[in-house]
Amino acid sequence: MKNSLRNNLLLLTMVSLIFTRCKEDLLQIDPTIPINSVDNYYKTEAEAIAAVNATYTPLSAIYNGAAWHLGDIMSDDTDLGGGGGGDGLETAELDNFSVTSFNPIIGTIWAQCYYGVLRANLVITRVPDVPVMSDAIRKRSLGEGRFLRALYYYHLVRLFGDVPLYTNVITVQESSEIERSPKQLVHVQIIADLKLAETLLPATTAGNNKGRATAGSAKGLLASVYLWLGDNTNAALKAKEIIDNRATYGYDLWTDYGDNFKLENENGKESLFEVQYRSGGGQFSDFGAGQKLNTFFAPRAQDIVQSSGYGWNVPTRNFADRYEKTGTTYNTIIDKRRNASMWIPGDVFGSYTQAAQLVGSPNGLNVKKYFIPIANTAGDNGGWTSAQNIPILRYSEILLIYAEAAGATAGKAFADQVRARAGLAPLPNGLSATQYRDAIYNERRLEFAFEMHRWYDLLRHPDPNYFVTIMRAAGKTNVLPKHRYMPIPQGERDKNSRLTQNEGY
Amino acid sequence: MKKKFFTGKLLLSALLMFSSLCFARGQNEEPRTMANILYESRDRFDVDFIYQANTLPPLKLRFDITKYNSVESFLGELLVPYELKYKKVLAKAYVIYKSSEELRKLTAALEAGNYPSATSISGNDRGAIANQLPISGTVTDQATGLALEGVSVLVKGTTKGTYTTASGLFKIDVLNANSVLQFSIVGYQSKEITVGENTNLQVGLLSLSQSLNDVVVIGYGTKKRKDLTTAISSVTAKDIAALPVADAAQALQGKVSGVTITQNSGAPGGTGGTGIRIRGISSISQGNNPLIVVDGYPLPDQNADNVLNSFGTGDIESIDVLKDAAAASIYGVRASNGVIIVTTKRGRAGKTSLTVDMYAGIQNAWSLPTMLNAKEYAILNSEARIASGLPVLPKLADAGAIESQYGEGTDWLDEVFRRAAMRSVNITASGGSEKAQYLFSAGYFKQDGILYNTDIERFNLRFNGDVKVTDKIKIGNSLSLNKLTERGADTYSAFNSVILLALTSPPTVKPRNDDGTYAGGNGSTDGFNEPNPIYQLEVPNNTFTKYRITGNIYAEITLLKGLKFKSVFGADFNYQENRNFSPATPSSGGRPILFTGYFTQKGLYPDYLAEYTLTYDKTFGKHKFNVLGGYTYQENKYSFVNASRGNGVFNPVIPVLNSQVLTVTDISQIGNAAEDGINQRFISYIGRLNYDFDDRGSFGISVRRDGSSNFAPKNKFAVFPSFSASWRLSNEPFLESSAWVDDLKVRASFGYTGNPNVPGNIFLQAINQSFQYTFGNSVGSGGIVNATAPSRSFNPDIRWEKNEQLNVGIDGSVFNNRVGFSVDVYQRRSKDLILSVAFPFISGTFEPIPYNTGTLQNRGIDLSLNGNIVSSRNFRWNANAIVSTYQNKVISLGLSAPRDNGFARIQGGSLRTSLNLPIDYFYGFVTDGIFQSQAEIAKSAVQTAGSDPTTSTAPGDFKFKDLNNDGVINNDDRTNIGNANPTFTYGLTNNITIKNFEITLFLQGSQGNKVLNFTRWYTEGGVSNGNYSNKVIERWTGPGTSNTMPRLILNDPNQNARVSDRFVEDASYLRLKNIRIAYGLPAKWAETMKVKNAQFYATAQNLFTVTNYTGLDPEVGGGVDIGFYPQARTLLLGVNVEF
Repeated sequence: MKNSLRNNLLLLTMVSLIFTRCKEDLLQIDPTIPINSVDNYYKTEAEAIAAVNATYTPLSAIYNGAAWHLGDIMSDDTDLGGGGGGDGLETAELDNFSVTSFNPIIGTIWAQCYYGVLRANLVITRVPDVPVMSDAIRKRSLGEGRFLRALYYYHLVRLFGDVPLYTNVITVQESSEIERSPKQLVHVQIIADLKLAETLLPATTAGNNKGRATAGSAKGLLASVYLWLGDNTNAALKAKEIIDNRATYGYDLWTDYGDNFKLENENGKESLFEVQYRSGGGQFSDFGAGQKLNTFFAPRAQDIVQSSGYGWNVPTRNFADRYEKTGTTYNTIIDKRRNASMWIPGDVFGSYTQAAQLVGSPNGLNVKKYFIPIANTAGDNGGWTSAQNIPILRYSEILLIYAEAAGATAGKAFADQVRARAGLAPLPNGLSATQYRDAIYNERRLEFAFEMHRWYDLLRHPDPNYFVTIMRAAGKTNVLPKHRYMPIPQGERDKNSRLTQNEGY
Repeated sequence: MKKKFFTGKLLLSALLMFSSLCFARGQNEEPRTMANILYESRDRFDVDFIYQANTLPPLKLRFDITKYNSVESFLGELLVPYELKYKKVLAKAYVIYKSSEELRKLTAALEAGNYPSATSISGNDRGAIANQLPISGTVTDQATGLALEGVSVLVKGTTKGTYTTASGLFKIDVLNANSVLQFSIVGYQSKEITVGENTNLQVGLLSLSQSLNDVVVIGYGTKKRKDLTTAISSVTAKDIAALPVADAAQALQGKVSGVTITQNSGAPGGTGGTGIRIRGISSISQGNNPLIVVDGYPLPDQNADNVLNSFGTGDIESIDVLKDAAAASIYGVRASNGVIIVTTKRGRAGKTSLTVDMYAGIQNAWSLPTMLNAKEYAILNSEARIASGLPVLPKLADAGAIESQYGEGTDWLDEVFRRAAMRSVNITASGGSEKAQYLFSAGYFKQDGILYNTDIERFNLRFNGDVKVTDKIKIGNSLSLNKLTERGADTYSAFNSVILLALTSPPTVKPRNDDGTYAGGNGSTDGFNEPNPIYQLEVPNNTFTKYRITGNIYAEITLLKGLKFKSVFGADFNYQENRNFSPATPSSGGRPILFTGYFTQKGLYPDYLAEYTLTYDKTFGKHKFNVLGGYTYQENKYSFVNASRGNGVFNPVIPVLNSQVLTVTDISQIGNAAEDGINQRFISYIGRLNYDFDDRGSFGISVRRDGSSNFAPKNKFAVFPSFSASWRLSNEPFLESSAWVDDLKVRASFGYTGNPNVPGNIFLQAINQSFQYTFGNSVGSGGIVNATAPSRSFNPDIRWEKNEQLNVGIDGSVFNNRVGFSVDVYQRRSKDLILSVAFPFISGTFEPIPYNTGTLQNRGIDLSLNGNIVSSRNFRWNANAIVSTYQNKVISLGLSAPRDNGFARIQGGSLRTSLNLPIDYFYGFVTDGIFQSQAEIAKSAVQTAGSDPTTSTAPGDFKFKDLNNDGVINNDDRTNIGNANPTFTYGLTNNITIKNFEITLFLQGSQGNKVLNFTRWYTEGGVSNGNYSNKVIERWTGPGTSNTMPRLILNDPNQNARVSDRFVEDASYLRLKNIRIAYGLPAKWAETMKVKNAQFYATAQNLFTVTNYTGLDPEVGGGVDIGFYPQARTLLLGVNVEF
């Protein structure tokens, strides 16, 4: 009896030991479906490339949902059209300089730029440690990271001035405590990144890599940054470097200005860098892979594009009147760029004729750039978005940067190249420095119509009040010097009490 | 030492150490008389012996009583050598005799309550006592006056005694008038009476209040209710068995204070879920279901509120609800929503029984709204169309023609609801010997839904056993096997709920054509293109099957007196299968099913448990200690595969994914094949100390240290301590002699519990693979590349939600235990609530991440009152009332913003959680009557932001209040328009016994709870071309005609149907939840029928409901009524026979 008792106990003890697993490391469980976390990712070339690709994606949203509201509508080039009433209140705030820190467009560009910054930082800090990877792709990837980070900070610093600057992988806690850095520091970082990028990036891309940043993209952006900073010497040097080496990069002007905006010419010879889109994806979303400008810019409710067109970005008279013309009506404009840029009353497309007045467009003007007609299913396969890329930097801009930065003597010939393609006579000789700059400003305005540059040209003018003067003259009486900088989004300030607000908001 | 005490390994070595110590007793007995041996054995076996003194041989023996585990083996070995026999005559008494003549004499005398003077109960050296004074009397229950059978009557200072008969009679001889008689029986206070001059004694015994003496399951142990220092409420088998429900959770409704039970749905078998909220809501985002522990097995949380419907209700012995933190904290991180402990029945030694309980009944809907008939519909539909500028439907243009063609029209509610049957059979066999006890049960439950073509069927088996292997080792098991099959219908979605379809389908549409094929609404002729509800009920085949095996085995070893080691191993295998088959079916309605589709999901949820506990009970004089230490390990996994196939035209008869009947061209889609699995482990250490001083003061400390795999690496473990104390005032000198206070105890407790439902792996910063970008000059939609980046940050500090609770309670019993009460006042604060927090976009991420932030508070009072209202021999009335009230309030949302809780068809959501208000209050507009004139519109705020009020608003439309006075009604004019929390809930149970009749009347109700009645959104016009409620007949038709029911207009330009106080109704109700009348067969008749007991009963459920609520049922889970499955009124007959 006692024996059986012992046996029972022994058995029980054994059973207990078998079942007892009190090691606390059992509380560490690997997920059934492996989770890629930041800590275990960036281990292969494919992962590195995917990380770089994600660094590009914020561009889609910035150029779909913010850049044109800021660069064009806020400027004297275009106004908000649309259906009126409550339609596009957030854009109207920008158009009328009643913007507040709650404006969602401001919020979008802020957020998207920082998504890009974090992703670029991840690329820059993790790609060097990817164990096995081709050197060419590692170099290219790091160059793309630097270039894109510079591009995002460039957007931020131009719009907001001082902004939080970080180049590491930030934690949530840090993001809630980070302060704004002086804009000078941001510029230093942008220039440093671009200088590194131009050495890391390849001169050209081909095939499935078309659309990636190249050394030319970095140099071109650097020239643009110098010009923005008023550093004409460096801007001219950098622009000239590109012009002189254009064969290496394969840059040239299209004979026809309009060729720049054709689906078949994407990433063509005049393109230094453009936002890549495809159609079909991201219905009614700024954040998909498709471009929405076609729908938003086309004449309102005219059924020449999918979703019939919203006519939101409407050229002003002030802008349209800048085109050289022989008579008084728009159909006497001689500038060849007009037809590729802007609908004027009487323009015919198939059975469609642009009316003298449309909803939201009192002068019958609409943006024609990015127009993909309803029938072009390759560009827009029945969805709401189009496949047309949006240019960020074109070779003609390099020519105009040089023309401006180098001054009339050295530069005029390059401005004339651009004018010649537009079917215009060379600029007159003997212009004063101011007259010459005004002429280049005008040239840029027409050359880069609706390419979201104008507002920044107004801001970078040597006269700090230039944008106020111009916008007042354009009838925007609300404009104030404070509008040089947009308000820091209030939502961000709610979550990070150290973020100061720009003056006047 | 104490720290080591908690580790599993040391526990085992301690066990081995003790094993060598504890089995070395029982040697070298001195020789004694047989009477002496019998006398000693009384304590060991807890029995008495009856014999004639001269029967025993005058010998002295060496006899080791401790060798024997059962009285019968002991008696066998002791008596048989001396040709003595024994027979059990009472529950705890044996007659020892030589001849059958002797036996007959003794038993006859015993039955007559008349001992022969030469008879002794047990004995001592002196043998039989010479008795001089014969005493007789009756023992009754002092409160009820009922005779008490089996009361032990003992002459104090001797071993002489007897038991009372069935009629409470006893006779005994005592020495003289100074002799003292001791009366005792389980469940009553013992009493001593000095005989005095009175030779015929009327003795009344005080019942220990039933609840006080009950044993309460407290988690890893039991305790007598009177010793509790914490707040625990219980429901017993009797309460549960009286209700014809499949889900035991429903049996708690109105029975347990502090527990709010809401049947989410009247779907058969409780499959729609029963919301159990113990003391309110404690979590905003992480679930509010209590932990359910079945026979010691903490069931894995599947975030389902119909867990208990897999278990047979007939098997349940008791349900104990651990309400305060001090009671629940022994379950630590899983206990913040309270703990429900279900204990199933077990066999008892010597009591063999076979019980059959069966009932059958019918159910029907008790309240259905009245819709418009065909003619009314034609008139009002045309009116609504004309008002909005639409042409009248040609079919409805002539109301007279409609009436002659359709008469009253189709009554869709009548079509979908039916009278439905339900039946239940439960067979339980139990019994056993001293050494082994068993209980088997088998149950079958089938309930047809009152909604046509819905039903549930459940089959359950149980086997519980306990075996004493030796004196020191006891092993046993609980095992249940269940299968549940549900044939359901969609009654919960905002779009295709069959009830909504039935409410809105036009009366001018028929369910079937004359040839029997399906008809239904057709967009072009009826302006109504929703599915035909009959077709929805008949054609798509939605079945849910659940197979569940839950079991555990235990071994309990007594290491030393009072020291027990117990280990438990358990497993819960839960396999669930969903099959949704929708065959292509023609219909002349607008929505025929064109393609066959099939979806199936099969999931397995295995869970394992290992548990080791050591308990030690020790009493030193007035000091009583109980110590518990233990270790538990639990692991659960959840994996499922789902697959679907659609757009096929394959054979409609065989709904199998890879059906061979298919031809290649049929396979147009196979999709969603997916397997997923989630693992979770818990490692826990538990400890508890209870101390009691002299039955006057007690205190308890418990601690649980829980580790979960879900927590961030640096927060794997959480510690949950609690403290509780009680003071029994009634045992203090100043109350001890009180004439009316029988028992009075105050309690206080404080403790912590947690909620472990931390989103898995949030401590990692995951890479999001769903970004899109494109390279290369591909046209169209080509060129997409992989783009991966973190889209959320991570929270390395994520941890459990923490709940702290303070509880103060008073338990008492007064007026000879006629009235018992228990009051608890509590405050619960849930801290570190997990809420989604959006971080600055500067972080480069945009997804909010779960963060421990926010605080929620519940304050409340639980009250229960029990009274023996009438206690006479033939008429007894016992009533039990409970009232619960609490207030829920969001104290802080921390870093998080107010949350809107959407509902599919309501833009912007209808529920909101924000500071200083209860969770999920109704958030909407406030109406200010109906515009009676154009002038009134002109001077009021613009009713629809951004619209032209001259065209969008007209007299007859609602006027919404401009709360912020900005001249326009927009989302900023929404406010708190009520919430679903009741002011209080209550229940009243009456048990009335009149002779052989037992009547149970159970009333239950809720006061002050609001419901957002969204069925009216569909049925009061404006949003649908379907049928309307007949209430719209009282609509606004001109100035002064109505201030509550707006004009009829289709498309509702004024948005009269926006979420507003228009739809918020007071859903207070009082319900006669259950009435049961049972007739017990008189003992004589039962005997002739060869049964121990037989009871016939009739039950009615939901016989009446008093409410002002206009929807289908005022009991609405979550407070937003979109036309849920209403509860049925049930009438049934049953019989319960014990063989």
